[in-house]
Amino acid sequence: MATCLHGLLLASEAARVPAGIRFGGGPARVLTTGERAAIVSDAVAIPASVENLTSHDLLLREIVSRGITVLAARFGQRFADDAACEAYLRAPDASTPFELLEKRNGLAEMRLVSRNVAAAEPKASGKPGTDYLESLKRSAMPPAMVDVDSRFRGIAVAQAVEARRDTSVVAHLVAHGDVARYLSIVARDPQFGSTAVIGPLPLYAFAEAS
Amino acid sequence: MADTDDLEIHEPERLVLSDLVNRVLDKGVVVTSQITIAIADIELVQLDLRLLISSVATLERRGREAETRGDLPPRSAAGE
Repeated sequence: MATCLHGLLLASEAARVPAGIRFGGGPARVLTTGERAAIVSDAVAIPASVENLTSHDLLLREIVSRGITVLAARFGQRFADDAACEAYLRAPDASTPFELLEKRNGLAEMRLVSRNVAAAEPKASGKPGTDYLESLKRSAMPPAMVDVDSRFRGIAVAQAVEARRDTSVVAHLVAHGDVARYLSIVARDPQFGSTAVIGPLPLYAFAEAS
Repeated sequence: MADTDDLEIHEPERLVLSDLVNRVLDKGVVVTSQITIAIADIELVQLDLRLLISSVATLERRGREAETRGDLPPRSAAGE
C-alpha cells in the first residue's frame, strides 16, 4: 500500500486540520515529523478521473477553509509508505517548500478564470491551416482580466497570470481573513460577470519561490 | 444544436472544471519522482483533451527521466 501525497503544511497547523478528512472514499490523515507535516492517504493507484481530481481538490480546500495555509502537491505523487514520506519530511530537500510555507503562512490562493475573447478577424489567407493557426493566436485575455490588480489593491499580496490558449487565469495571494472581502469585490464588479472565482485554495501558482 | 441558455448555464462550471484539471495535474509542488497517473475517465478526456495530454505528457516525460536515472522500475507494457 503506497502513501499518496496531497499537500504540505507546517506541523504547528496540523492540530487544526479537521477530523474525518477523506480522499477517494477512504480516510486521509496528517503525517508530522518535527516542524513539517504532510497530508496523505492510502492508495494503490490514483486514476486521473474527474472524481479523484475533485476529491484531491476538495480535501485540500476543506483544510484551507479552516484558515490553514497548505502547499498543494501535484496530483499523483506517492511514497512507498508512511516511513518514506516521513523520511522526505526530514530530508534537506524538503527545506525549500517548507521555507516557502513559513514565508506564506496565513495566506491562501484565489483564482479568477475567464474565457479568452476573439480579437478582430484578420484577412483570410486562403489557406485553411494558416487561417486556423491565426485564429488561435487571436484569442486574447478578456478586458476584465487586464489591469485586474488595481481592483484588489490592498488585499492581494501577490498576483500571477496564467495565459492559456482558451482561458486566462489570474491568481492572487490573499490573507485568509481577507477572502470574504475578495469575494465581495468580485461579486460587486459587473466586469467579472463571466469570470469564475475559485478559492480559497492551497498554493498552486505560488507553490514555488518567486 | 446546443441551446444557448444551456451553454451559458454550464460555462462557469466548465471554467471551474478546466481550471481544476490544469491546477491539479500541472501545478503544485513536486517532491517525489514517483508520479503515477492514469487516464480512467472518458468524461475528463473529452472535457479538455489538449490540456490533459499536455499535462500527462509532462508527467510521462518526468517518469521516463526517473526510469533512466533508476529512480523508478520500468513500466509494464499495458497502460495503467
